[in-house]
Amino acid sequence: MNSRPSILILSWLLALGSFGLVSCEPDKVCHQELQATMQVILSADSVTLEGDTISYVQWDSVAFMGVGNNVVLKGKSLKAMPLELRPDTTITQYLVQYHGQIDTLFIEHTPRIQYISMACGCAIFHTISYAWSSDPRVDSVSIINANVESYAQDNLCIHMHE
Amino acid sequence: MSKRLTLILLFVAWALSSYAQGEQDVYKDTIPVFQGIGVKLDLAMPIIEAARSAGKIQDYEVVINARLLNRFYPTVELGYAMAECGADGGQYKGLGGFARLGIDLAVIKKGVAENNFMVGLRFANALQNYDLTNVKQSVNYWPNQRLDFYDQFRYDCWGELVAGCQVFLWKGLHMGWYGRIKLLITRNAKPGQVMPYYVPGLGYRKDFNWGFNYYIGYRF
Repeated sequence: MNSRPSILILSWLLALGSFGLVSCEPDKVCHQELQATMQVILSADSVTLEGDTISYVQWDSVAFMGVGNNVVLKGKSLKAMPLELRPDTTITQYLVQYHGQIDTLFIEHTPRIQYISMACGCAIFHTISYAWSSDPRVDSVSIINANVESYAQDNLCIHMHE
Repeated sequence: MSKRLTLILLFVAWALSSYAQGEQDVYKDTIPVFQGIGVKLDLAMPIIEAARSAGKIQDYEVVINARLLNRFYPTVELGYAMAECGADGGQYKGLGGFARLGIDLAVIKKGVAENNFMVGLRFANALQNYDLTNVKQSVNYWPNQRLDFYDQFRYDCWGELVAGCQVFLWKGLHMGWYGRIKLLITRNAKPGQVMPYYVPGLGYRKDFNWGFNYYIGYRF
């Protein structure tokens, strides 16, 4: 192999390699859906004239506001209300306004940080250990699914007396 | 995994068959097994990164290889890299070292394999210490506090398929280039661990990556 043409080929390939073969920077913008939000179902029992008990949800009259946050959340035409748990503490509190009365909903949970990528940062998942309310109109607060890892699963059910 | 294994087996089979053919070569009786040691310095990455990242990424490496039977080049590549870069999700700052072990094969069999095309395989390891700061949390309703992870430590390994050439200019002085296809093996993080954005010797952390080196060296 003659050296001179080889050097010319090398130089040409160097230029090609510099632009084409060197590690490209990954995407800097996140395109993944990382939201892990607790989904709350609210149900209330009502007795019909025939004496039957039926359950219903009337989201239009319910509003939530996180303790430590001024933004009011209202659910309309929803099967479940999405409520975020705090990433920086193990007890999240929401003020619940229902039929004009205000109550506090407590959720005890363990936040879990899951690193995704440099573009997306971290997803925060939670495991709910306990949930309660001091309102006597609340019959029970039950955990349906303790793991909050997506936007699609029902996690909590608040059952009210009418 | 099976694709990778197939690729390795094909390469080994080809190398062995090439060597068997080489045994019939007229040069076989005159070729000593050990034919010296070469040392090479990479010029491409320092220049490219100085231009591309304004020195925020620095990558230096040296290659030491031996020439055996005029065709085989057992190779050790040692390097050091530091990087400071980021994306929407946070900022990365890290530094570490890497080592690649492998073998090259001279493609042209006839004659003295000075000016030649080379193909080879590498197994590479990297250790690094890094900080990930200002990392975003996927929180909308609550105040989005950014997270900081300082003094993280990480080991990574990957395999490489390399191809290139070398040209001798004067006595033992030679230059050449390598293109590299890199396949990351350590892809998962332990629970709670944050992954580095950049891996010394691999480049930006991706399962599949490319690389390019341009060497100048001397063979003793």
